[in-house]
Amino acid sequence: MNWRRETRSSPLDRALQPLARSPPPSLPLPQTHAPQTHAQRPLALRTAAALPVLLTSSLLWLAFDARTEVVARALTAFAFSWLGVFKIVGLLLGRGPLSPAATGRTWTLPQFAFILTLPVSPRYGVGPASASATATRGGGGRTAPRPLHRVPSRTRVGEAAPSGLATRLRVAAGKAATLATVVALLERDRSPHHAPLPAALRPWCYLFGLYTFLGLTYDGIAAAAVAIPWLRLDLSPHFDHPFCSVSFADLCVVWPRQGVGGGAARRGAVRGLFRLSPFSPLSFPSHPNTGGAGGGT
Amino acid sequence: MGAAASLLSAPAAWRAATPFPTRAGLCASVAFVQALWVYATVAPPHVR
Repeated sequence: MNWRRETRSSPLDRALQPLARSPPPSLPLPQTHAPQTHAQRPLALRTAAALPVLLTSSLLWLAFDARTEVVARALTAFAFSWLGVFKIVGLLLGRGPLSPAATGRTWTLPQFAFILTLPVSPRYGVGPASASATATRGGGGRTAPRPLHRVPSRTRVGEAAPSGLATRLRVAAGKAATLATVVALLERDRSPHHAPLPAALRPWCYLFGLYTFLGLTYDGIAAAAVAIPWLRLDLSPHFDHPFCSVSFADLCVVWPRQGVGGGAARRGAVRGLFRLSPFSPLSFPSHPNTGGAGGGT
Repeated sequence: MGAAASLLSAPAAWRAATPFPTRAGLCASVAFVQALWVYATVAPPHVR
């Protein structure tokens, strides 16, 4: 007992007792999950939390070899190192498909994970509710966040949407047939037992093969998302009449063509992110709501 | 220079030692964990 008394009353223990009873003021207190606590988190902390994700996403493509795993490497670089990074940066800045300031919508965790991890962009701006939200944003106001499940049923997936599941599957089947034809032609071209393809036809085969492969890959993901009923997620088409583009800027940067795209509802994911990342901050730096991928007016 | 060279060659060594399905699954797992982390820390509360 005397030993314990002596130990407890030592100067070192007396100096450490206040630290043991209460955490030092310099250490951050554990954050609760209360929304009001999370709402006060400054941008610097959110940016610091996002930095490891940005770094990891930027390096994920290194997991695949450049010579033997070209497709996996390219898709990973496109989906994570570019689209994913831009989506997170847009979320930090109040832009992009994940930001409620740009979309006027909230996302459930499955929807959020699906949009962030896959090369897709949600489609919004369809229906009267979203149209009013877009009009409010255009008037300078800030719309109240709206959960996706409150969207009127006639704008939900596969009902009145112009690119429902049946349309997406039909387009994907056409691209698959085209890709199979192109691959068969190129295999026949490489075979020594058959006559080679005409020189003018070979670049077209590669061109259509590349387009149909990319379209099949990404539209397949979009069709899978549309086919999941509980996800309740509609996605922008990746390729919106690409052969009607008159220039690269028309394909990627400029707003959809009048009469073809139908406004924000049919803006492609790539086009929306091109507008989100380099174009909109330079053109409209004071209007954060104009830079959404698929959002804005 | 030696440390930088070994750092640059580390991904290639890891790719050579790890089969493709393991690397693909690891990438998918990393992406999913990243999505959870971003949803919990980066996204403002009114996203949810």
